[in-house]
Amino acid sequence: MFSAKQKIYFTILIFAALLVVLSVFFLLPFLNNLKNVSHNIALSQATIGLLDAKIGNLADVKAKQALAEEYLTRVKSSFVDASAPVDFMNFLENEAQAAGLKIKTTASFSADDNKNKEQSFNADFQVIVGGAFNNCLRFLGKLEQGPWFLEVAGFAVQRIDEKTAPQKGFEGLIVGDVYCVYSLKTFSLAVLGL
Amino acid sequence: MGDIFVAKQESLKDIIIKKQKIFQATYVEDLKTSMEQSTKQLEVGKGLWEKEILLTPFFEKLSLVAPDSIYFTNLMAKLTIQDEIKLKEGNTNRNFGETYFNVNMTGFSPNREMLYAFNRSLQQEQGFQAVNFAISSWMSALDVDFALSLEFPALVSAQVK
Repeated sequence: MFSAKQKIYFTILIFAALLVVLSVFFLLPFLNNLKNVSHNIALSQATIGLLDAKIGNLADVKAKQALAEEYLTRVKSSFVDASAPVDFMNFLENEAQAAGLKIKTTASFSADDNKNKEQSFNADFQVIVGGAFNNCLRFLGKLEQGPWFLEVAGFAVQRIDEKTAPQKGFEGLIVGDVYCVYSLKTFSLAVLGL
Repeated sequence: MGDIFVAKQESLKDIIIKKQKIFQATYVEDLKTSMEQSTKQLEVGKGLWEKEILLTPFFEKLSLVAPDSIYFTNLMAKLTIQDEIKLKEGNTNRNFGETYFNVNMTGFSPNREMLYAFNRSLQQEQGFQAVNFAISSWMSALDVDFALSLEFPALVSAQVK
């Protein structure tokens, strides 16, 4: 039979074999599984981090959109409402008054046949002011630097002399003053596709 | 212990799904569309500001060259675009589509010499082109009523500012 020493060796061998079997069939799969789960958790946490960053960006985009809307409101207010250009008329009258000029404005509309008539027309205005020439130039500067999208398509000046008959609405002008006629082209919101 | 990890993994999956749903929400799509539209509209607005044609630079230049003793009785400035017909006619060094002001003026000069000096100043000053005085402007030595035509480039806001 086996000696005591041999028994010990045999027992160790059996335990070693059992350990190997346990490792191969139980411990290694468990560790692999653990490794996979850990990997997935790390991946999920990275994904969550990415999503959080994106959500943060979304908040940033929302803030920027609010700012863009604010700018857009300002841009939109620079278009002349051709259906009722009240603000634009007020602007012209106030600036003319500030420059010490008398003013008369007439309007004409040019419709773009390719688009909806109501939305697409731009308004062309003919503005006549009377007064000192320098004041007319100041008024021109205000038009060009003002908040409105417009184009001075034509400009005419006529000096008032002794022979010039005073026009209705321009009483009080003196010899040396001028009549200035501005042909203005303004743009409607249709330019923005609205 | 393995169950704890699996539970943790499942809970993280739920969080991911919830966060992903935020991006699938309609308002995000709406925000994107709205942002694209706003950007386009702002670009159009910016373009309009930058391309706004100014007439003031013409008068600024004119006031630099016109002597105090000369004054204008009539002035007409018309915004003109170089078209094909004018190109075919020749006598122009403008390109197709170029925009400029066509200016016609009449005025008074105390004498011919002063008007001639004004003519030379206009010729020498950069910007004034096709300067042409009517021949009748040179007939009188004193108390000259003159007529003048010239062209001036239509400067846009982006060029001036």
